[in-house]
Amino acid sequence: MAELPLPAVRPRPGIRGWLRTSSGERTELVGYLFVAPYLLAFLLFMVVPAIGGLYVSLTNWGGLNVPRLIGLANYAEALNSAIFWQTVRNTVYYTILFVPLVTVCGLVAAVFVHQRFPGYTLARAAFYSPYVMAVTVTGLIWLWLLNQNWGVVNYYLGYLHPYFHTFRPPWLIDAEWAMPSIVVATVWWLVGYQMVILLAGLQEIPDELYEAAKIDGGSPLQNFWHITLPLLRPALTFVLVTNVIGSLRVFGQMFLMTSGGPAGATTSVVLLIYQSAFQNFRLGYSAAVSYLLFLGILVVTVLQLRLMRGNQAA
Amino acid sequence: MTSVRVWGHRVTLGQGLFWAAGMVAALLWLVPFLWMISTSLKPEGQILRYPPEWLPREVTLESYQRVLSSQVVRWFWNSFVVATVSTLLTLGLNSAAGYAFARIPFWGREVLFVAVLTTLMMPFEALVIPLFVMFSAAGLANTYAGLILPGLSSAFGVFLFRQFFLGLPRDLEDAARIDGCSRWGVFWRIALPLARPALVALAILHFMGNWNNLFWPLIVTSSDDVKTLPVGMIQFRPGFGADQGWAFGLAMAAATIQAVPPLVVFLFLQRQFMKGIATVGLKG
Repeated sequence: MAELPLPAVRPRPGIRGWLRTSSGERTELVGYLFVAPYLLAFLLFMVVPAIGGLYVSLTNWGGLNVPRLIGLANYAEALNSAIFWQTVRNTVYYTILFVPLVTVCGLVAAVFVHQRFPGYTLARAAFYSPYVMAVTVTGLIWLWLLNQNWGVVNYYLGYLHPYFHTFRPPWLIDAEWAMPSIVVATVWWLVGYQMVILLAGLQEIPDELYEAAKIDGGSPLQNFWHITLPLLRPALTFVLVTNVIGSLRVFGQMFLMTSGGPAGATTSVVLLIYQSAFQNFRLGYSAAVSYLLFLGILVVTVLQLRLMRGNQAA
Repeated sequence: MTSVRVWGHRVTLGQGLFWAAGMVAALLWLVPFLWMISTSLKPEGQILRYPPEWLPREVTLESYQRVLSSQVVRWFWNSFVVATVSTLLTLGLNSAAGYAFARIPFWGREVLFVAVLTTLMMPFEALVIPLFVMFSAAGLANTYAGLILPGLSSAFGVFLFRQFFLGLPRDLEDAARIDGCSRWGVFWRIALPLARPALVALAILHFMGNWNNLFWPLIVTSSDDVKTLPVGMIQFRPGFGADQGWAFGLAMAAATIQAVPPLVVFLFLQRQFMKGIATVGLKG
C-alpha cells in the first residue's frame, strides 16, 4: 500500500492523522460509515440484549413485578433442579444420537451423488427434498407417519414380521422411543443440507489424486480412507461443529411433535427456556438457563475445535 | 474384483451394490415428500383412510381451494416479505461492514471486528427475553419490524464477507483508487460484483433460515395476520376436534405450498450455491 501514490497518503493535519490504526495507517472516516449500519443493529439487537439478559438472569423478574436483584439464585436453582438436568440429559442424548447419524448419512449420500452413477440427479433431489420443508411441516408429516394406530410406519412393519400385528410400537408417545423417533425424523429432514456442503467439499478434491491412486492399484475403499476423508476434513469439521451447536439448541421438533413429553422425556434445554419464560412467566429463571446454555455451547465448541485441530497435527 | 461392462463403463460388484442401495434409499427418502403431495390432492373422505392408500382416488384441488381462502395465504405472504426484506438488509449491512473490516483502515477496526466475532457463539436463545421485552416496550411486538430486526445482528455474514474480500486480489481496487474512484465507488462497482458467490451463498442461507425459522416468530407474533407460515401451521397439529381428515389435507396442501420457494431456490441457484459454499463456507 505504502509505495502507491494514493492521494489520501499526503500528510495533512487533522483527526485522521491522530486516529492512526495499529499498523500506522491514517484513518479513513468513510470506514465508519461502512460499518455504522451493521454496528447499529449489532449494538441494539446483540450487545444490549446480551447485557440485558445477564441482568434479567440475576433478578426474580416475572414480567409484571418490579425486578429485584437476587444474585445467582436463579443459577443455583437451575443447577439444583432435577428438571433442568433432565433437559440437559435429553439435549445431550439427542446430540449424541443425531450428530454422528446425520454426518455419516450425509457423507454417504454425498459420496453416492458425487459418483455420478446413472440417476444421480434424482438421488440428489431426493435426499435434498425434505430440506425444503419448515420444521413445522416435518413435524406434522412425521406425527402422521409415526402415529401408533393409523401411521404408515406401523402398517408396513406388520408386513415385515407378524409380531407387529399385535405389537404396535408407540414411537412418539413412549418415553424411551420418543427421542430416537425425533432423531430419525430430523436426520430425514436435514441430511440433504449436510450432503450439499460435503458435496461442495468433494468437488474441491482434484481428480488427479484418484487417477494417481488408480495407477497404484488402490481400491475404492482405500481411496476413500486415504484421499477423500483427509481432504474432506475442513468440510467435515464445519458440518460437525455446526451440527453440534444446532443440536444443543434443538427446539422445533420437540415443540411440535411431543411438546417435550412424555413425562419430559423430550424436553430440550431450549424448550425449557421457552416454557419457563413464555408459559410460566419466570423470566429471570429462563434467562439464567439460557446463559447456562450459552456457556455449555461455548465450552463444547472450543473443546471440539481444539480436538479437531489436534487431530490434524497428528 | 470381478467386473462387468454397463453402458461402456466397467462396473464392479461393490459399485453395483452401492448403486442399488443408494437408489433404494433415495426412493425411500422421497416417500414422505410424495405422500405430502398425494395427500394434498385427495378428496376429504380418503385422507385418513387405514390401511393407507397411496394415490388419490380422484385428484381434487379441494384442499388447495380451502387453503387459498384461509389464513395460510396471509402467512405465506408474511413469511415471504419477512424473509426477503431480512435477506436484502442483511446482504447490504454485512457486505459493507465486511468490506470495511477487510480493506478500509480506521482507528479501532481490529477491536470492533473481534468484538463482533466473539458473538458468533452467542445462541439467539440467550437474547430472546430482553429482545421480547424491548420490542414489546417499543410497540414493535407482533409487527414485521419485530420479525425482521433481531436477525440483522448476526455476525456470520460480516465474517463471511470479510474473509471473501480478504481473498480477492487488491490490484484492481488499487488501480481504481488511483484513477480517483472513491471507497464507495470501488466497493459498489468493483468489489461487490466480484463477491457474487458470497452474496448468493449468504442470500440462500439467510432466506432459507428465515423461511424456516420458528423460535423467534413464535415468540414475537401473537395475531394470525402477522404470523409466519411455520408458526401458523402449528394449528394443524392433529388431535384437535373431529374434523381431523379435513385438517390434515389442508395441512398437506399448505405444506406443499410452503415448500415451493425453497424448491425454486434449490432448482435455480444450486450450482451457484455450491460454488459459494466452496469458496466461502469451508475456509473459516
